[in-house]
Amino acid sequence: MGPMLKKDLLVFWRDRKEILMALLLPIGIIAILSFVLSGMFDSEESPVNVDAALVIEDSQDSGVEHFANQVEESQLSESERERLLMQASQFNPTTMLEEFLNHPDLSDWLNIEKMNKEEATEKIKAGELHAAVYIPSGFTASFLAEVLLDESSEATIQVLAEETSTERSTLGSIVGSYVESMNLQLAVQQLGQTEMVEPQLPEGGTEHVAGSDSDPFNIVQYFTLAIGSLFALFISQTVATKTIAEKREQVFNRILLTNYPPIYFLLGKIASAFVFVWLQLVITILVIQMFFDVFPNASAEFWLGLLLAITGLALAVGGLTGIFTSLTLKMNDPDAINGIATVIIMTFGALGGGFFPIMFLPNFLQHIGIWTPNGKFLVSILEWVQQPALEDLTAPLLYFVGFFLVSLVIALVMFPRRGRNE
Amino acid sequence: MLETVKLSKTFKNIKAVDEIDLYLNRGESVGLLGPNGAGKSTTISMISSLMKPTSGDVLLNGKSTIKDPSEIRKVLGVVPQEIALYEELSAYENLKFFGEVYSVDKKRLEERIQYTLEMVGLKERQKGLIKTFSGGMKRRVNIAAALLHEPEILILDEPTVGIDPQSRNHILETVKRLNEEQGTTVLYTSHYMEEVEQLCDRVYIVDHGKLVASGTINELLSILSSEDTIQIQLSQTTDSLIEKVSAIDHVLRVDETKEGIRVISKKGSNLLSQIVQIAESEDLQIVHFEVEVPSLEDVFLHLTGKTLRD
Ligand SMILES: Nc1ncnc2c1ncn2[C@@H]1O[C@H](COP(=O)(O)OP(=O)(O)O)[C@@H](O)[C@H]1O
Ligand SMILES: [Mg+2]
Repeated sequence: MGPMLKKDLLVFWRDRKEILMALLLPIGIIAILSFVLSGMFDSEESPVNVDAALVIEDSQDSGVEHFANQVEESQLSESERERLLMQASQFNPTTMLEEFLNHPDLSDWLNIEKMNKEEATEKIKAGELHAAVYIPSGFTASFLAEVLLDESSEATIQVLAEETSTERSTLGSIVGSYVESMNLQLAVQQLGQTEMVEPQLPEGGTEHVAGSDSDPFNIVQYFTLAIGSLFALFISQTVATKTIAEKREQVFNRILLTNYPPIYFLLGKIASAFVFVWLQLVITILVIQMFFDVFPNASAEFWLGLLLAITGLALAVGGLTGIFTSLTLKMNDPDAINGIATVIIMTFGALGGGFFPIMFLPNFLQHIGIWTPNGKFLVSILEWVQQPALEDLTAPLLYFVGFFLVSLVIALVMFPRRGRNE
Repeated sequence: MLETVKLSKTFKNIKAVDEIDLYLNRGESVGLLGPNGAGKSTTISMISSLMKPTSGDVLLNGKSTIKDPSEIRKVLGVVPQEIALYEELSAYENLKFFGEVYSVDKKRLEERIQYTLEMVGLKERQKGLIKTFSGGMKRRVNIAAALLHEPEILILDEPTVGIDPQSRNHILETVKRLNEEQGTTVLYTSHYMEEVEQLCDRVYIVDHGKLVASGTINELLSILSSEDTIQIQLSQTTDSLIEKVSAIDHVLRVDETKEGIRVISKKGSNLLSQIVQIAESEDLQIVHFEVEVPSLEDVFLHLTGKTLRD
């Protein structure tokens, strides 16, 4: 298999366009997103100075109570209910937002004062305040129902103001991003939930102004992992469909002229996809880390776990490459092969959160999504970011090995018997 | 040492190869001639174990290679009709790869790569990527790749199609040297008659999947020895001239050519005076007159009704 691997690596290396696609594109996309997203929280250089009111009509306790009733009435199992209630009791969106808005990091440019709605409206009219963050009654109940029960939300946080202004939109995007990351976090916990694990919630919830602390994960981390793993999937197509050219250019026939076992050709493709994906993810994440410090203060243990997960994902993509390679050898229509590969990769990509956040997918799709290799990688690492404990990686790693073995068997079964049968 | 027995291949409803019997003795150089689509490449594919025959057999030293092709793969070198190389790799890297695939011993392989590159005259260009090579250079590397494992039998499928004269000479020289100095048995397929005449002891001619003639070049030429071909260059050609010439005794066939007419007649029938008379009566001048010695090309034309190159 050695010569096959060497040959594939060399051919790939010579194809600068492919390398650009495989490395620069994910790095570029992640970089742009990181830049845009982290720029939003860049408080030090912010020229704006916002005076705002905080209007809370929501009641935390009655919200949780309302949610509890909803859960009691549902068809869910006993243990499921218990889990949801426990999560709900520990998750206080209103308090968290309040603490967040009063966080010292924001105090340089955001003066926020609690008051009732009339007072706030008056002060805004009088020009004393730029805007008000308004948390309507029922917000907690509907937030919990949305995230934990997957119901559509009625009450949303609003930013009230007389007119559009930089101050208003800054406040709006701060609040929006914060709510989104609460959402994300809770939903990811939902997803990765093993029945008995206690949900890991941020103490006080004020820590996660993006980029300011490692705990819990933020949007930039999400995109780094999601886009990285999406591009890893594309490697399988790139590597497998090189076979089309090898058939067309007759080099595959030349291999068949020898006593070299053709199966090594397949194994070579799998191995080279493994190597490419591994390098691609390691390089992408390293570069992004260097420029954006996506995983600040991460421990050595964290990086080791990440490396293991990358190895697992690379193995899974290798398996996928095997299937595509066998398919390419079996079929003669390059367009059909490319079509099939693209559909599979796009489906995995979408389900596994590569195009839009996995938690915004309908519930049942989320549960399929975490069984795609990229989805599994994404969700495991997002959990891993919050609490690196090596045993938590056992399940995903077993999954990757399993995915690889199943794909390998499919690829071997589909692999055409030696070319003498035309 | 190598023999095919009623070798046949049918694709859907095309009989691409139809009961071809041919043999190669050790050290021989044999030509395989035929127009496009005659079934040459398909025959080679079956001999080289790339394709299973519909019926018939391929024997190596009397043993069938269909069930167990491992022996023939060891002793056979095949230069495919298409250039089968990695464009993105250098000549050296290609040879290294294919040598490893042929499981040539590591140390030996290094020697073989340099030796074969030397042989095809590309030793100095070995670091160049194939995609930067001219057609002729590619063809030469294509040949080198088939020689790495020191094959006893070398099959070349139209190795000189569409290349510059320098590369072509190089290739012909290489094949000649392999055959004469190293005793490699050669099966050479070509569109160029003069190559075959120059290289081969014996020739097979195939058309529509069937063997139409075989023998040494002299034997094949004697097929035409009962005929003369006369080329006549005229100031002008007229229908009545052709009619009258055709009517002469012993004339077998008259064709119009670019510059005049071509007359095929029984050997030794002296037609000159009669043709001159006819031309005078038609008021035409004979510019040039030539009795041709038949070539392999004429044999081919005679057997298949086609010239080789179209
Ligand atoms: N894989 C194939 N499927 C169907 N027909 C084929 C295939 N390969 C060759 N043929 C047909 O078989 C005939 C012989 O082809 P080939 O052996 O390539 O001829 P040559 O090499 O003498 O030019 C042609 O009519 C060609 O169209
Ligand atoms: Mg051919």
